[in-house]
Amino acid sequence: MNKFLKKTVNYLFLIFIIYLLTFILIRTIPGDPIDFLIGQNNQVVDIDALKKSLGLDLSFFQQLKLAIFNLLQLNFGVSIYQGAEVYDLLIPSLINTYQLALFSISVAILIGVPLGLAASFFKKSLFNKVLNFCVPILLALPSFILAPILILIFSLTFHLLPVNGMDSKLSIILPGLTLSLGLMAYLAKMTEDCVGDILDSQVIICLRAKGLSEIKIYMTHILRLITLPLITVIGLQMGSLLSGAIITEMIFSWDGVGKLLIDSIHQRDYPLTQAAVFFISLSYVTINYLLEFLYPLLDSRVKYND
Amino acid sequence: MIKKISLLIPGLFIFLSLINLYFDWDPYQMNFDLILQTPNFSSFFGYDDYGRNIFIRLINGFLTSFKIVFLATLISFFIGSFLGVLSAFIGGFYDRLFLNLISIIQAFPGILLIIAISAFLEVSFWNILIALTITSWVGFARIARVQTLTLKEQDFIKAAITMGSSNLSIVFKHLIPNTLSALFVELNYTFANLIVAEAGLAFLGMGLSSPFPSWGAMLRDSIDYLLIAPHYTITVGSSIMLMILSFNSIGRSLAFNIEK
Repeated sequence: MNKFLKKTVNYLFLIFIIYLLTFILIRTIPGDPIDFLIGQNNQVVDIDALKKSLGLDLSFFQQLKLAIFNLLQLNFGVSIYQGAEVYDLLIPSLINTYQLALFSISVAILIGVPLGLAASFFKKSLFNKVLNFCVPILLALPSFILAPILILIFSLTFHLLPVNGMDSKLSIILPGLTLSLGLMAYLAKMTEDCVGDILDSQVIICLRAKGLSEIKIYMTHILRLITLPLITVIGLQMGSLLSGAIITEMIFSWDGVGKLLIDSIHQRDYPLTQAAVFFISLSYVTINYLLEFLYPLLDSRVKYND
Repeated sequence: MIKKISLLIPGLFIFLSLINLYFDWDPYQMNFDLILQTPNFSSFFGYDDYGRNIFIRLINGFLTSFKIVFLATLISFFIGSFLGVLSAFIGGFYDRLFLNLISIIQAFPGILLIIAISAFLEVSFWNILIALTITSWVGFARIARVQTLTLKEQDFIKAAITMGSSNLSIVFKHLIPNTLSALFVELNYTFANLIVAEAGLAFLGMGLSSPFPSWGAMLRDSIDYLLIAPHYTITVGSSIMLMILSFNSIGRSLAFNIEK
């Protein structure tokens, strides 16, 4: 229990520090949200009154005090540029990002892990060789190269899927594939390596001696033994996917939190940037935090106390 | 076989950039009657949207990208491994603080940091270098720290402490040399990752951008002509991909040899 408390305090502390850093960083960037706002609207306005209404006339430390006070109430205020509540802007884009992340991670798991299992089952087959040839190539393809290739094939040549945007239900497929192909290759390779290590161990020899069929050994025993390393990798990747795959979101005009963050920084929209960074780091840190509690549940050899 | 090819590709590009330094090919020269010309014998990779030779621009872009990425990797390697070893060696409160610092940098969206730096200092060679270094030294620190934690319990370090060697000499003579093999593997992966990061920055329009020859910026420009002139995207894209592929496989074979 003590360990649990310590981890939780540490977790909250991390998020708080990241919030503070964002607060300071976004304010030290040259450029003023007011300038940006006025430049866009082309109106005659009372700058002092506008500043006052947005709370920008206060001194740096007063603003900081207010921001911390608002954070404790989980109130992120109103967007400077768009005038809407930060939550109203942030939540839809968070949902979009989570959708994309979940879609791509499940595609990667559902295809990558069986491929890796099959590759280790048929060790010296052609299939194994083809997979081992493809994996490094897929791992070396950054999203900004993979995305145009996929668009060229699926949208422009065969007209199967929309190029970008999020109007139809099919539009999640291309950004999802862009994010999941590399991950899929990684999971397949890792599954194969892990199974290879386990196959040499005494456990498997014992199971074979017991007379279990190979299929049964794979499906019930090996699959369970490789969950722990797989969960670690999946968790880490999930963390980075949830923080918004910025480049992929930009290419496919996917209204996710990464795109929102970039726009808000360019518009110097302080409350929106702070909230976006807060939720991005929150998802990353939370996944890591949850993983540490998941390990002992999945594998009783791992204990809380060390 | 694959190992040899993976050493060949970066070597080829370095060789070509040396030739380029001698001949001084002009990456900005425009031929308006050759716009988006497909590859032929006079230019292996064809021409881009302003009629500039893609091959020459790729080589010029490689030189700048390589310099940035190479320096960023080296600096992160030195800073990261030194701080990581030191943190694990000192241990206690300092180590816990250091671990938190690493977590903060990893959880913090790197793009915000990079935009902040580039807005503050304007986009230039050195500022991109700083931005990339700040986000990538953490990987080395993490590995060096874990390696040192296990090394610290081994007898030869205890012997060195008992013999009364100074802390500095333990860190420099015993701890750092013994973590190097794992760090060299990470060196290659970081190099590959930074190539992606640098090209990605240029792709988002936050790196060195056109008309300056840069791989990421070229790729972004080429996407507008994906349908009319696919050779532009293919040549630039496959250059980036091959570079990453070769550094990944150098890293993998290093890791494999070290494990043996």
